[in-house]
Amino acid sequence: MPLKNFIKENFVLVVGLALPVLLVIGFLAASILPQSNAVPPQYEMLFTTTRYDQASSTPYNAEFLVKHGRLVARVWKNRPNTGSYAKKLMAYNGKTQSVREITYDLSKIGDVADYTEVSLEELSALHVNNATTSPDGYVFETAGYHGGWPITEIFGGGYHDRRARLVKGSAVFKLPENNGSLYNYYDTQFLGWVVPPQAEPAHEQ
Amino acid sequence: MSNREDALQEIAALARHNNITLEEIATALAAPAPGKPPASLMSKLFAYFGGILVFAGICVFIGMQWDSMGKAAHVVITLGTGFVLFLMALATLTDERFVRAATPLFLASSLFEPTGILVMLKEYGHGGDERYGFLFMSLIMLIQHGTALIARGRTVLAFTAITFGAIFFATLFSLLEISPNLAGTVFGASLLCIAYALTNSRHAAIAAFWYLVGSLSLLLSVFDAVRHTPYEVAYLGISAFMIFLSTLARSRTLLLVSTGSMLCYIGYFTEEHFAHTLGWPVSLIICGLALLGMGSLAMRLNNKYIKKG
Repeated sequence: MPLKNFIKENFVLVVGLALPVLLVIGFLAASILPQSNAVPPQYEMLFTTTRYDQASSTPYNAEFLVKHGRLVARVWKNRPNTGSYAKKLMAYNGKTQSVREITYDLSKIGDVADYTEVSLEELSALHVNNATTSPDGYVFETAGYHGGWPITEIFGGGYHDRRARLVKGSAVFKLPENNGSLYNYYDTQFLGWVVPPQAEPAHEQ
Repeated sequence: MSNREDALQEIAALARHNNITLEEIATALAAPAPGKPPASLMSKLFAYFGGILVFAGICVFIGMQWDSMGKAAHVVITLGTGFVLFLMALATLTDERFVRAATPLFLASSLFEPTGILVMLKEYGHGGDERYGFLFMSLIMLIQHGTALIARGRTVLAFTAITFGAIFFATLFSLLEISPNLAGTVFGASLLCIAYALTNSRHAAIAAFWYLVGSLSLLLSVFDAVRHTPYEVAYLGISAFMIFLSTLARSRTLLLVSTGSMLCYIGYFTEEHFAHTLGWPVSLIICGLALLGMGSLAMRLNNKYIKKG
């Protein structure tokens, strides 16, 4: 049989050609197949991302934190006619694999001193567990710049952006891009998981 | 003892060692001595020089006109030029008079064509991860050069086919987010196997380059994986195994890289564990002794198993 003879005569070459193919097949078998059987994250994940506003449209700026299983905003006054970094509150739904923005209105809080913690009406219905690991075992990993290694960088396998994701063992659910935003570690802050009222926080901030 | 006597003794020793008879020596001496370099060398030099000039001229022209050209012109000037150069290279192989122009033409086309494919994807694509573009480009080039290699059997095509294969798999590993150390180890081992197969083929001229790339990839990845782990000392064993492989493959490149890696590891280990206890002077002496020992071992291995092989 010609193929059998070819393999016999060029065994080392065949091994050399087969090794990367086997790695790809093995990787697919070990990671993508279990992924298809994995149960997607059952709890919405809350996080903030930062955007720069040229001229602040609201009188206050805010950062979010979890207190007693509720999301509260720590607010401070914006300087008039100057730009500022504002937090966008986002929720990732693992079942639909989509990210939505939760809008809030800081103009309704009235006149409060800087760094006052306020409860916003829009967030009052959210019960939040701020444990690093979700009740169903998922962990949030922000996006980042991930390197290859010296030799394959020469051949094009170098540094690249790695999307933010929820990870549980070999199951990985990547967050979709939002207008080119990958939710990098420097502009993304994890807040917690939206849980039913009876499964409230494991840890308090 | 004069140089003449030395030379005679060396000839006698070589003849005894290689079982060469007096008649064979006489026949070899009777053959005309190669006085001047063969004419083919000059024509080959001119072919390479001409290829470089053509390539540089096209690059300068493209650079000068780039901003005034449209999307289609960008693609035609890069991809079109590359494809035409590839066809010309194939055409030169059919005529003995132009066959020496094939290698520079293949090399020039290997730069223009992939650039052209990437330009096409940039001009007509819809954005996204550029690695998919690299994957597409390298696959197309791999198929083109792989089939040309099977049909024509030229060493330059073997080189370009392996290069595009390496780009394809490096990009694929990156897209699949396979651990860089695992990918580098497999990539290196694969290239070493391919280089070994090249050594025993008519493409032996390019084996040394792929031994270099493969061994560096394998050793760097393994070191990165085992560094600061209980298995770190196993790296020494892998370096020793690579030295053994170099004698098996009769590759000086592999011997050089593996000996170098062992020396680097000894230096690293000494700096890490002994520099603060024995002090730098003693550590330097240990490194120096290792250098002397490894150098001597490498020379002996080269003379015994590689040079005379």
